[in-house]
Amino acid sequence: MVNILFYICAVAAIASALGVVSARSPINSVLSLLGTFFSLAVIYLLAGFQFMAAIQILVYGGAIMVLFLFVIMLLNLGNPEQVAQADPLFKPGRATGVALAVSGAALLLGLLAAHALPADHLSPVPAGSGRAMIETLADAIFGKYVLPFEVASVMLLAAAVGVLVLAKRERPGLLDTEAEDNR
Amino acid sequence: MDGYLAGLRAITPELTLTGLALLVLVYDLLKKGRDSAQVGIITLVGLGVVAVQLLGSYGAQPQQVLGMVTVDAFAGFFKLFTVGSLVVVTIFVLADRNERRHGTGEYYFLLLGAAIGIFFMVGTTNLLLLMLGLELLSLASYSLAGFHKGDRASAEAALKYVIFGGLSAGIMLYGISLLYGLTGSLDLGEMARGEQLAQQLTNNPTPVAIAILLVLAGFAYKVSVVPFHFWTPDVYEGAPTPVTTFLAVASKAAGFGALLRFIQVLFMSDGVREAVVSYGERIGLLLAILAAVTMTLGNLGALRQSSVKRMLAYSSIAHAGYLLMGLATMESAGFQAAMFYLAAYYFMNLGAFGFLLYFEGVTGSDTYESLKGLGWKAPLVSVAMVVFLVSLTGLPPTVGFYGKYLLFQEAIGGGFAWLAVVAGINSVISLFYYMRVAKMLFLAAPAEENPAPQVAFTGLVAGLGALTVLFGIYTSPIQDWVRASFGG
Repeated sequence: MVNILFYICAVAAIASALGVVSARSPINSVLSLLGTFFSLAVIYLLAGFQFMAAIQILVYGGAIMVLFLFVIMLLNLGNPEQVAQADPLFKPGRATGVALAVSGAALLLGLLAAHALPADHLSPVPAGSGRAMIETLADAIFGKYVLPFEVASVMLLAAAVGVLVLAKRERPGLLDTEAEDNR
Repeated sequence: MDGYLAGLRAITPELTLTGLALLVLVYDLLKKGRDSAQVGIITLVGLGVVAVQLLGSYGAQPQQVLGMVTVDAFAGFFKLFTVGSLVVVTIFVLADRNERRHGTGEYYFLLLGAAIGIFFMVGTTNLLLLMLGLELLSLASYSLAGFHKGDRASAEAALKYVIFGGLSAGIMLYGISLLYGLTGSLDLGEMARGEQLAQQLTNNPTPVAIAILLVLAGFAYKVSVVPFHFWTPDVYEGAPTPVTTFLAVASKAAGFGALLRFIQVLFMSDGVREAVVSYGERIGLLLAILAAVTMTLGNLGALRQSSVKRMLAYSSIAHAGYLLMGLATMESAGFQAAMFYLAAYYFMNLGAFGFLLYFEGVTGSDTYESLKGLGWKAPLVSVAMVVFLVSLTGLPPTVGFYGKYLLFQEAIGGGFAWLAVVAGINSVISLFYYMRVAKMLFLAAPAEENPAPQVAFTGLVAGLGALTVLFGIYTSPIQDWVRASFGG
């Protein structure tokens, strides 16, 4: 049962990942990405990481996906005339249908797995150790792996600053103020 | 708790560097991006402090702290190397005449961020921390390559770098996950000494081979070894010249540092299982073949360039090939030769890029043609450049000659005489394109324009040239340092 579910989800994850890079419309790409995220969430669940599965759906499937959609919509709205002439942003074509079907199926499979699997399979923490799964995770992150955790935070800061450097607009005013200062 | 505090003390240079990066960022924010040169000066002072800390902990007992950071002389070598190249790169940024004077404070922050990544990359045997360090270095480098975003070439460089970099990081991460799955450990030492890897190698070596190949591919990208070198010429050409210098010197050395540690701990450290050691010899043969292909393709590519910057990019690919010669021997002496060559590479490549930056400031172009006769207008920088070129070719009396001599000696001693022959032929080819620069500088009729001299910058480049010759004649300081850093 677990194996079958795993293979279904693995194939779905790879298929939707291929969909992300091959879809022509960005919206279809994003929806395929959603399929990948959901399939991955089910795989986490099968491996016994309910918390990771929940976070995967909440953070990636929810927040980040909404952000992607926002960005795509905003970018496409840059030039009103072009938008008026262009095709509608969201054409519910076949690819979208497939992507939505895959994500829906993956979610259903996940729910199925959560119900059907024996309880001990869903928990990598030995029964009777009296510890919840999130505690073990927190122990790992803030205990043994605290240094990689901190390095990751520096990495994210560098990435954020880097993106800011590339994205911010040139300020022609800067040089003018300097000229005023010198006067 | 005490262990934790002691661990933090041991990584003081990393913490100082992080603090410095944050200070630079906040200071630039408070100044509202005006007078970025001040930020550069703060960076230089901070780097000096880090260098003092590194020198202060020199010769201390090697230790592993916080569960995964290895503080030893080997890491110290590459950390000092990084700080040293960062100091020169920072001066390059300050001296760059094509750089805006304002709103460039993030430049220094990103350079320091990349250095923090390097520090963790070379100072760990834990693959998780290695990967994080590598990614920190990469992410900072991507945005640095695109720093001149108004410039098409720079934007293209950043995009190419991101796409190839993302792909190679994914490949490497996949290899690491396979290794973790096969051995149940993220630590290279535990992997090499444990039973699982040895058993797997005797029973069914294919998965291990795939995993190690994937990890090596990640390293090959970082040090631009064929067949993962495609990004190098375009990124080096498009990126601002100080950033190119950083990528060619610090980033490449960091890749080699991490690769040396990876191979050394996995195949050559004490207590490694028999099966793993014998497998390492096959990896050596693979590295030898890669070395031959890389240096040949790099040199042939360099022959056809009309831009000096692009020529130096291909030359850096060729030098990655020479360096791999030392690794292919799978012996400490070969690794020491590679580290000596890296030290030589530091002087001659920083100098060559400094020269390039100087003349870009004068002519606004990086082609051979634009150098015509300029040797007579700025003699000190140009003579220094000839020294760097002689050293890059590997002729006496320069540090590059001695480095190459060591590499040849070790390759022949390690049973790769054919590789030494290939490298010899390649050195002759390289003489051809390196000397073209010298010919343009001194043998062509001078152009009309008169460059305004940059006195301090000239001094820096000339100093690097002097050191290139000095360490070529008097090699023992570097040799002793390398031997102390790579004991065994």
